[in-house]
Amino acid sequence: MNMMKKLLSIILFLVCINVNAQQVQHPYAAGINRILRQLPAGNQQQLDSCMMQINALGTAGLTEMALMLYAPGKGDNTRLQFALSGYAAYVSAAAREDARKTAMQAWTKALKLTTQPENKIFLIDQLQLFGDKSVVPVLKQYLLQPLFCDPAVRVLKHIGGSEALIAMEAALEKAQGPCEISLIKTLGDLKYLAAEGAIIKRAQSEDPVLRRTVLFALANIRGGDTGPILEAAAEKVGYGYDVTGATAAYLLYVANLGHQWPTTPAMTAATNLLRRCKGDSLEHVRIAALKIVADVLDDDATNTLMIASDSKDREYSAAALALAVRIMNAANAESWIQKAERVDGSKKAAIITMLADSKQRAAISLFTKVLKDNDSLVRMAAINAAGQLQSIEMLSPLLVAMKTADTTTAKAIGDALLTIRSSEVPGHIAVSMQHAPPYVQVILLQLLAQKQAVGQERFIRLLLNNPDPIVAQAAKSTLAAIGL
Amino acid sequence: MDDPVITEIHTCKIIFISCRVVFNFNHKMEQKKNQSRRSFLRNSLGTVAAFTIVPRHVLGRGYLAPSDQLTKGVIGTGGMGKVHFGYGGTRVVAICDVDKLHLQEAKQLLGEGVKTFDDYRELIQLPEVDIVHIATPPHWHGTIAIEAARAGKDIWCEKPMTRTIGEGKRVMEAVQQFGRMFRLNTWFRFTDDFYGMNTPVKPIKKLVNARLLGWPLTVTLSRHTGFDWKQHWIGKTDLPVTPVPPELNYDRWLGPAPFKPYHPHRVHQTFRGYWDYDGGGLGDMGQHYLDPVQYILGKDDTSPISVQVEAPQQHPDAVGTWSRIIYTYKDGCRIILDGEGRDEKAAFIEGPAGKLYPGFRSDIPDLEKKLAAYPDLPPQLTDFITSVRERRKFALNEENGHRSCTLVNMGKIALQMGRSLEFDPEKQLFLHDEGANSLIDPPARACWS
Repeated sequence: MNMMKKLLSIILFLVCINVNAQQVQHPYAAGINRILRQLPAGNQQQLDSCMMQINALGTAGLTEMALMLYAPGKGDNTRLQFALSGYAAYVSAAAREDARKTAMQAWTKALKLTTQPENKIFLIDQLQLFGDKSVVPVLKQYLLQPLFCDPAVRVLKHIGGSEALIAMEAALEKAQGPCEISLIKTLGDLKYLAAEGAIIKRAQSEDPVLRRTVLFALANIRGGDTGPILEAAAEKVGYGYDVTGATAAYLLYVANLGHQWPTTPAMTAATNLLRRCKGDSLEHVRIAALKIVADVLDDDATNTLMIASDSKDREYSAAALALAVRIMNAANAESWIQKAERVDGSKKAAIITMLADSKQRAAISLFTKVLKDNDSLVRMAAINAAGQLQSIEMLSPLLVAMKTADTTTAKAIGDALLTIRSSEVPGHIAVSMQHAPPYVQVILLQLLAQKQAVGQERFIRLLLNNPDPIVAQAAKSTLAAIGL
Repeated sequence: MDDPVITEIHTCKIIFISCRVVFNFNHKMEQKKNQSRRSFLRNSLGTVAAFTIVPRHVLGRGYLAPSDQLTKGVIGTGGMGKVHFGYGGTRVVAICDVDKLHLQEAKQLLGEGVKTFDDYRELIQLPEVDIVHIATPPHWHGTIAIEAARAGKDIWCEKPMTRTIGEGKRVMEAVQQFGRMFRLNTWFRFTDDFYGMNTPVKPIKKLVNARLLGWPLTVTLSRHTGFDWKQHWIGKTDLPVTPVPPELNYDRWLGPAPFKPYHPHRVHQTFRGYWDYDGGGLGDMGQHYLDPVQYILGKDDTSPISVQVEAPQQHPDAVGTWSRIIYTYKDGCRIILDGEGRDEKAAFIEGPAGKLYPGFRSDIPDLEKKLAAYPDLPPQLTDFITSVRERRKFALNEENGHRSCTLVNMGKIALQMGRSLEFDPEKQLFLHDEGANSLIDPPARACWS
């Protein structure tokens, strides 16, 4: 009996220890499970309620929740992922600083305790939403571990600031492979000048991925020693495209130079590029260099762009006009109008289109004048410009031009007439069509039908007895279309 | 391959090896490039005359033979890529896919003459390619578009234009930096009936411009107004790690997206259910539906100032469903995305002076007659071939395409954050929300950025 009593006491003692131990290990289990059962939240109200319950768990409870994540294949993490990512998003909102601190403390502890790589990556990923400099110490230990460095560096990029930058710069000394690339890319993106030297050391790498990362990082950092390295790299690939992005990196560097004073180095470099990049295959590089020049000169770029627009290289010339649209103002418009007067053919047409694209009403007199141009390209550009500007001023000139136009041009004028913002359009059309050639009369009657020009009935009826049966039929159809 | 740790290390090695191959390829290409196309033309005029079809690259960019067709390289030859092989005025000369089966099927369709690649960087270096057509999943769109611009190619990109707002800005900058022509491939702003509206966008835009409905306007996109949000594009959670099939280069498929262990539901048709690659029905259909609405409302150069969401909580990896997303512009105009078809009486457009329903029905009497008196819309350039040849901006280009894609991406971020957000259309940042802003331009995997 005594023996039984002793045995029962021991069993009772062991049970108590076990229960106690369980309470020590999972004191928040019940509360966490209660929350998890409510997830995913069905709406905003439920979500806020769940997040407040998680908030009430405090650092210890939240840490415990994070440590409940199963290893792959050992259990379903879905509800835990809803809880943890939901809380990460919740604390990242404004005015939730206390909750955010709680989350960071819990995440820091959980990252130290969890051993599962997948769960560690999941937790690091969530830090992108709310992490700040207080998590840098825990993240920096991952910067040399191939599996974790990329997600850790992504968080550090989000955090920014001196702690993150110094941690990444320090890690770069020993980093290799994917970690090295992640670190260099981020130090470059964050324009960390102190890292320039360490990055330059890798500029001659034979590994194209590393070299590409280095070149772009240097272009972003824009340090004093960078220019010649990037220029040489671009020159080495003949300023063409290659997987190291040497030319694009150099262009980025020169464009960045253009954003700082003095701008002379940027102008010199861009001008050199324009001179060196010959041939069709480098036309896009010349365009990029021209854009740098135009960006630096800003409002004063018009003369440069005018010269560029004279180029025989079609893409380059078109790009110059596209750049001109961006800096267009009344003074520039006048210069372009004068230039359009001096050139012919496709050049003139292209300038007219550019002026229309930039909504320059000051050019309407030019558009009107060239409606009589000998070159059909120019005439069509002016007609389209009238449509773009929905120009009432061009109503009468368009109708006059229509009388001597070929069928294609007449149809284009008809389309342009429909865009004009004026209640006077049907009246002008109705009068004009009386003395137009038959094929123009037909087009104009169709326009009146589209305009439902009931007020022009008298003029339409005048054409019912037109000797040309096609015109007479068109007049009849127009009356029918407008319900008369 | 089951162990994700091993997979990750393997994949990074693959990147390095593949890049070396491309690097060598590039040097060979550079040598070829040194031979000027125009000098080639000068030396080959006799030969040129002997052929009916002359490749444009041989003749130089400025020269267009009467028989000239623009040449296309298609990247991504799955369902979407194959659909776009045949487009008037273009000829496919090269294709690229990271799935060998897709590539084989595409080659069978196109014939032996077409060049095949499994690395897009090789394709975009081909001098004979005029246009790069991007038909990959959306997480690749930004990276490939930027690289294509750097290689001097014009770009035809499937929707959604980019997976993030940051990528969209960079695509826009690269296209303009290198003077490229860009077409986003959704077309309802200029052709075809606009889904359930049973009418093209043109008369709707004309009506809105005429202010016959008053101002500000509310546009509702729901199944009652003819729009299916395809809520079936949802992801799965708790995916078991699965071996990568031998035909698929999974690391390249992931590309700039964060590494996640392979599961067949992540790739090919069902990828839309994962935030890393797209954004469910909103990602799939959003730009089709929203781009014309931005155009109709005259918002091509701006973005809403707020986005409100009503939705169940979203999983961090798998996209879920949503009930309602409401965008509000500075002038009070609103776009309501109704994911549940709640309001059977909803008008497509409602303003203080009238309503417009599918089929151009309205509560305004004699609407069409009244509308006839108003001016038509200014012309748009709606043929990409003309755009490329004449170097004129296409109607739906990198700028307005980025703006309409921004609506899609704003909605996705609000869903992911589980809250409504305010937005600054100029700076293209959310106001007072660090978490939401961290999703505007999340870093890509460094190896692929």
